[in-house]
Amino acid sequence: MKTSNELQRYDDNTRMNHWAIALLFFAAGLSGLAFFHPSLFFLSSLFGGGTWSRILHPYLGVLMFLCFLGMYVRLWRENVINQQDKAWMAKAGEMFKGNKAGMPPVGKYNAGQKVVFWLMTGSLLVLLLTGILFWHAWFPDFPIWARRIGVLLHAFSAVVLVLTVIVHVYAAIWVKGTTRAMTRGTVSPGWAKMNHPLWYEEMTRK
Amino acid sequence: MLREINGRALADVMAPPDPKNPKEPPKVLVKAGEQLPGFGMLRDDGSTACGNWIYSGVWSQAGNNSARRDTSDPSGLGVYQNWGFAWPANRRILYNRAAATPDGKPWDPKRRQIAWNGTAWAGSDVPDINPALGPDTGAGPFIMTPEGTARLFAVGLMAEGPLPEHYEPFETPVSANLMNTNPKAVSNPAARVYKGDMEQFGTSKEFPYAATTYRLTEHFHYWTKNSKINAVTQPSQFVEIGEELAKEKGLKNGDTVKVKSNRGEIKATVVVTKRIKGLDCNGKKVHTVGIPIHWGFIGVANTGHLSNTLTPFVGDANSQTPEFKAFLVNIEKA
Amino acid sequence: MTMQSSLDVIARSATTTPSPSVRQGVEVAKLIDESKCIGCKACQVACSQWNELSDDIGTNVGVYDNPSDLTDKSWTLMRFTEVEDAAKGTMEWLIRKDGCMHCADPGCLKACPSPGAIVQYSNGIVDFKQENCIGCGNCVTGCPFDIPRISKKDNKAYKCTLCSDRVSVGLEPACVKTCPTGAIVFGKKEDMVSYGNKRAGELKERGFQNAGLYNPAGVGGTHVMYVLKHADTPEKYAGLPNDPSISPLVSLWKGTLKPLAVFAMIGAVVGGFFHYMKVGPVEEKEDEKESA
Repeated sequence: MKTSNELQRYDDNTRMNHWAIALLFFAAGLSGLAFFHPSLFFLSSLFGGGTWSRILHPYLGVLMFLCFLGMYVRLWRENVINQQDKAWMAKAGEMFKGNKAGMPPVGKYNAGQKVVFWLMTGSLLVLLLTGILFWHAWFPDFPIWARRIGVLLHAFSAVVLVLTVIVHVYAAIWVKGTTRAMTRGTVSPGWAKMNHPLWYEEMTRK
Repeated sequence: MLREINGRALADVMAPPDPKNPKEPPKVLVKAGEQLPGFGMLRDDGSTACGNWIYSGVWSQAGNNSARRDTSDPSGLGVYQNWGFAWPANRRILYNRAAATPDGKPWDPKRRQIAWNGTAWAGSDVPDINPALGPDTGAGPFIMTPEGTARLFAVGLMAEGPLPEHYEPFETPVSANLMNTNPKAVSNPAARVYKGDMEQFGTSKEFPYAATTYRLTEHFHYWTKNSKINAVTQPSQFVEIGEELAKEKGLKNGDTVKVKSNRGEIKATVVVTKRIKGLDCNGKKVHTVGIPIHWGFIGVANTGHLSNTLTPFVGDANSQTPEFKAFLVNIEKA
Repeated sequence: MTMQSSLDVIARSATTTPSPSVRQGVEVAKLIDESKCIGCKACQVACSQWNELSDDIGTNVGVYDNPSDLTDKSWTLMRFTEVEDAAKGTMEWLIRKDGCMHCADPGCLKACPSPGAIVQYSNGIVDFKQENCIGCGNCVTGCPFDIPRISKKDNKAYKCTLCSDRVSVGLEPACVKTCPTGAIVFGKKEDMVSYGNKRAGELKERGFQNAGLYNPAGVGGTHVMYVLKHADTPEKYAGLPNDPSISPLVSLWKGTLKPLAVFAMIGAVVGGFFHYMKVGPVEEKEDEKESA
């Protein structure tokens, strides 16, 4: 329940969309990781075995892509990279070490978040397009040379996506008060002032 | 089974009456139930039974002669009379009277096959002539001809010949017989052709391509089209044409084509091959259409048309072998 | 040739630990002499009969190759190529028996993500164990010769087994037994190599200067070899690859980068954990919270 001075960061639909993506990420990700390396093949047990993992993985991936499309449409405008983001990136190392003091003020999304957004977009697109090259259930066999490039890029993009998600999840844990934005939809004014001052001003000006 | 084929006497086989002693009771040559010694004992009155006259003698009263393994060769000529059985009558060399001169003496005394011993022909082999027919009778060794001598060619038994002649097939892509200027000798003048069949011959104007029928390794005649394992290796009816003809007609591998002769038409897949080339026949380019035969209207293989829909009804003048491998067709995309 | 037991498996798909190595196996090989092959397809039929496969009856797409490609139920195929040499005025009908080459360094095994779906025996035979196959098709992507085929019926991969069942009891493969011209022979690999080289020598004497043995080193040598009249241009024979090897893309895809990536991903989580412990979270200061 929103208290009188809490700021709404995400509405209900956006939150549901996000969590759908998150759950599908785990499902598609774990089923995919089962094939990534033999040491992770045990993950296929979560989905009923190797064959079931192979069957389900592409459906989970496509579903995740479609859900992400919904998110993309909602958020892309606010994630366009600008000059201030470049300044933020230059100072990011200091922030990481724990000194937030010298960071330039940011709007709704800082440069780190924007990079995460575009990395997710790019890797999901590559995952979808390359995945089609070898989804036998629905598509005819593409030439072998194309499939060889496809499987390599698919594995590479998957790693990029996993690492990006790790960064994304960690950031939400590291900056206290962030997770509530996605679980409840609201953030405290203090959180907003500290982490996204320009957005705070926008929101409180109204 | 060999015993049965040899034959046996069902009743006593009697010798013909002795002209010198007509009153004497006839001799019993073979007792009832005994194996016959040879085809000379076969009778046409039901007293003998035999599976095949040429094998008569293979299993005599002495036993299975085809199982004999005597390697002795007294003549040194490699005759081996008592090794197995050679049909007919265990004769090892046909026309062996020719081993002796007209006087009945061996041509080469060192290689004595059979010769006249004064009363009969005898030697290291069973004579291939009536043993009593001495040299004085002038009987020649080639017992199947009336004159007793060999012939270079058959006389009186052929519709045409005796020397081989080239004739064009009745449906020829060229207009003349290059080997014979007689206009009546383009195709075999001695072939038997029914009037209706003659009327069904086509000309190279309407049907410009030479066609031939043949067989494939994957199928045997018309029965393996009913065998799935064969059908997998060669499932559909096809015809083969050379690349030049394919280009002329705008055909490529896998197209469905219609092949027509003056008698009918068939549909098939076309295989374009480098193995068939246009032939230069006295200045005219003649293309060939190859037609494998194995398909028909039933079978597990993909059904097809009978290739004999196209072939002409005419046969060789002597043997009646049908001219199914040389006729005329036209081809186009279906 | 011993019974194929677990002791004979020297390599296993998606397995990072060593396979049994105590037993010393004898390598076998099948040698196909293209110069003696007449394209009769008896080998295709024998293979189907021994393995009790009954493929579908297809259609003729305009070639003598039937079926037109390898399938889950046709594990060997005669491929016909007509080659003309205008300069020499020759036309050759080259016929090659296509099928698994049983590489010493199998691309299929390297690409397979399912443990034990593909095994390699000490005698050189590379076998698919369909009970472990998940039907992903990676083996097709990894194979330099485009051999394995996924069944549309059961989504499992199939290919020539080099009659591992027959070989394990001392019999020759079905195709070897059937070949009417003796174009396919079978025995110890070293014997087949010397016989193959001898045949190549005989072909050279008969005017085929480029005759040779096809036993490509790029895949470590193969346990199915060819004697070819034109060993210098194997691609003439329906695209048999010249000097094949596992594609560098496949090697990259399945190479050391993979375990490094796993390490990196786990490392990122562990790193985050330790970062949090060291640096502590970013939180609003106590007094600021109150005044807001």
